Amino acid sequence: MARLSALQLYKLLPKTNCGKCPEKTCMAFAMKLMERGVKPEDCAELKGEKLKNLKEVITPPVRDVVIGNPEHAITVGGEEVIYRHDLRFFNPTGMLLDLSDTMSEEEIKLRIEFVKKYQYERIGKFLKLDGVSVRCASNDKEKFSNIVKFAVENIDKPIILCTTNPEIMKAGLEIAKERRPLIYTAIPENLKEMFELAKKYNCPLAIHSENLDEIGSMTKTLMNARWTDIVIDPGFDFENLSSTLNKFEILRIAAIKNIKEFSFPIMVSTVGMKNLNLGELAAVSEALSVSLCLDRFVSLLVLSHFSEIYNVMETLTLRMNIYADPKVNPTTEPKVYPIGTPDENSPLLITSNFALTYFGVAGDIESGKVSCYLLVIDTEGLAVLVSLAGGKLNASKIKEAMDANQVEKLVKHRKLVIPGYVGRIKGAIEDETKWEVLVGPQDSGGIGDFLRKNWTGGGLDVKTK
Amino acid sequence: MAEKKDTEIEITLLGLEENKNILEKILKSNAKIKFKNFRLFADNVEILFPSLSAKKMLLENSGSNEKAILEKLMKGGGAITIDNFETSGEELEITVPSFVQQIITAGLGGGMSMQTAESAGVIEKLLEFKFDAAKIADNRKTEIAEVTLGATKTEGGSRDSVVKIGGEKTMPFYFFENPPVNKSVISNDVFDIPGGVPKVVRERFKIGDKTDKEIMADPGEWAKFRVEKSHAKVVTIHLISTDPNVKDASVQDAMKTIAHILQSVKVPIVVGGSGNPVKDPLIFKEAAEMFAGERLLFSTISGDMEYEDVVKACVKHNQNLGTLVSMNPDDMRRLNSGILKAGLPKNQLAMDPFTAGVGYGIEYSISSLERCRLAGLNGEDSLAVPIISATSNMWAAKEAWKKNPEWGPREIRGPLYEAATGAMALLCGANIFYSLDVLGIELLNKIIDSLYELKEEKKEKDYLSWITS
Ligand code: SF4
Repeated sequence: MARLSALQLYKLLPKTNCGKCPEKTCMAFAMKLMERGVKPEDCAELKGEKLKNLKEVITPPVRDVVIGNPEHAITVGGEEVIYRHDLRFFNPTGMLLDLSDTMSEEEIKLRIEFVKKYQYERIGKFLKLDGVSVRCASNDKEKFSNIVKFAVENIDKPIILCTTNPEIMKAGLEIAKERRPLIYTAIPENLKEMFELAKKYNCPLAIHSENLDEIGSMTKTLMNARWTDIVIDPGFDFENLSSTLNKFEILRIAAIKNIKEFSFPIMVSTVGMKNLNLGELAAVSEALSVSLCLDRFVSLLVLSHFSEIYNVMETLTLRMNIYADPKVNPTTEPKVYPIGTPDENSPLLITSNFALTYFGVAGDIESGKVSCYLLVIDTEGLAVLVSLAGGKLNASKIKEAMDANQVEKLVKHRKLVIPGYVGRIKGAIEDETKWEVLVGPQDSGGIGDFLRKNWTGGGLDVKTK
Repeated sequence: MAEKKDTEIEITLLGLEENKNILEKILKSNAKIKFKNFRLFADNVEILFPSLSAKKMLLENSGSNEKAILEKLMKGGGAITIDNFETSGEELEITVPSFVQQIITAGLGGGMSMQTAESAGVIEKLLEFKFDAAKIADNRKTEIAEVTLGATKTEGGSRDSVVKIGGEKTMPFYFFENPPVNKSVISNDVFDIPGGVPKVVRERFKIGDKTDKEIMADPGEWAKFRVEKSHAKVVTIHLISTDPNVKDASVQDAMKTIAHILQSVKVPIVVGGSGNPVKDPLIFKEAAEMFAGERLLFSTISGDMEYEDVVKACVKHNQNLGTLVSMNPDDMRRLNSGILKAGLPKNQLAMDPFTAGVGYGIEYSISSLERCRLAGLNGEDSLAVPIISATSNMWAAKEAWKKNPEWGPREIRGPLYEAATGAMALLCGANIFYSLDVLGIELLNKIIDSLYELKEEKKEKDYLSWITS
């Protein structure tokens, strides 16, 4: 489906510029609508058929499905493109940790605690898991009910309930209904019963088949019964990634090309990988699988490993990267940042204005317990190595930044400390700036030691007040 | 209790097919129904149609009586007044046509889900669906050029094996459009001097009783190690010592190193420069002549280098050339066009649109690689060449190598970051990787194998057993 332009959306608005929405004008509203910053209902003047029309028009080709209650919900799907550079991906993949009713109480507690507490900070953002998935491995309604109850009482994040047995599912839903969990999963054999449950409890419904025709058959059947809160699980096979990824690709491309039966978000679980006996590579293999899924349109994932940490850390980071708005480079304002308590003798360092580089370098200088000035150069949001390769960081850029920030008034000396990778243009920088250039370490973690060893001009200490 | 109110209600008609039937019922029936727990927010009643065509269809299919009412309704956002409307707090009782129950809740329900339980129908049986992949397959205009690395004795080189990369007709792994052509390949990194390899990587540089120091002391040994340990199909010798800021090793030193590598292993070789814009072209040109016919891949020429002579030498002596542009498909196109214009055949060119690591700008690389490949397939000749991913760039990030208990053991964390970075590049079209860590290489190879092999799907569908495992 072709994406409507702001102008086309504008035509569907009242065009009165009544000023009752925060955007004040209809055109501004249309633009915000395109970015999904507002909903059609937010227009005070739009009612009736026109509102309905607009809503129809902006329903994304991959529908969005909400899991959870209004206080704690995630939205999955709602995507409009195959390639992120064409627009962006909107709703980051939901990542939920696996719980089973055959796990020990201790392990369940540990897992729930992890989902609640774990966070990984990057560029000032805290990356976290989104919830828990509770499965009935015991085939015992009582056992399952107990753990669902435990989960509901102990964590308020979104939940998935997993069993193909409608009766057991019903018991779980009775307990968790207020949380609006995802019902996992309908298969052709139980579709009718699972659908009745979805209807009764008003919960989103997952369907599973490894066969595309069967998937289409189930979604078509559901849509015919006017049900669209659907998530598709086409399966995941680590040993047959070609087939697995092909299905992901087909589902997404078909959705974008308006094949209604496939217009739903995709989910998979990588929990089954533990049957592959991957030994000490189990967690890393899962992380790689998750990484592939993140870049191949999967909107919801159930994961099994957590205590290894690196797998959670890598996949949360990658998710943040993939779902970042490609139009916005995370940058820091290019200027001089004093770190510690610098004076006119303190060293002058340079780095790029990629936010992550800046945060990393500034943090390392602080923990290195030295004072200095850090001159952030406008590299258009690219990291040091990248900007160097792309010519966004070069001698004249550095000179320009030094002049613009009047660094010669800031310090008495004429010595510039550059990142290790920039060492290869040391000569050019010296020629351009006429300053002496010290090539610092490649990794900013070594700046403290480097300066203590190589900086002779003083002004290094961090004075305490 | 029930207070009579003359309230008007918004009614929504859902679904195309149903509209006519519903309408007929609306006009005829007089059933009494109850509504529970619904919020009333309409102060004006309209009939809303999913689309203009639905509205038109309704009108067309209505009898004259119905039509009159309908038209009245539709005019000026027309209104229906529902009689006998009783309300008592949360419970509403209305006498309206029976069909309204299922549709009215959707319009009045509010809440988070527009489509609610009550509006849904029932399932009688599974409907048929047949998916036809041809419906979504794109016709690509151009094929990616196929580049051959290495030449055997009969072909004028000295290699035991050759490796072909490229040749794709589709975006990566769109096997529903076209089956796979050449498998992507990992070229294993070897440096001409030992420095700069993180400790956590060095720890896996061991074979037999050889230590990492012994392996790294001699690039030839290092290359052999790659073939023995990781079954490297291609090896890259990075001539970093030639950088004037490193050791400023001479062009002649570099030739000796390359000769030594070619002696030590019999797989195709990539020759990597130091990135120095003056020195690299000199080295590439010299090596092209000296190792004529070997089909080396020189990696890489960037926009700030004089490449005319290198290109001439590559054409004359049958060598391949790589180009590097940092995440800018337009610049990539310009550089490649220049090189093709200078006379290099397309099947001797590969490009590196730059691979940044997970957490360090990989999203820009994803876009950069994808855009290059898409443009290539869609007719941009200068971008219809294989993609290089210098994956081991990612070791610059401390998440990969730093000891930090909060991040888990680095012995696996580092390889994960390398393999994951490679995997992302793979999904965006990378044909050849430059990789460093032994485990990282093993993991990435596993993914490449699994992604390229077209297997029958398992007969017994056991995926769902994850629930009970
Ligand atoms: S509330 Fe609606 S009509 Fe009024 S300015 Fe905003 S978009 Fe335009």
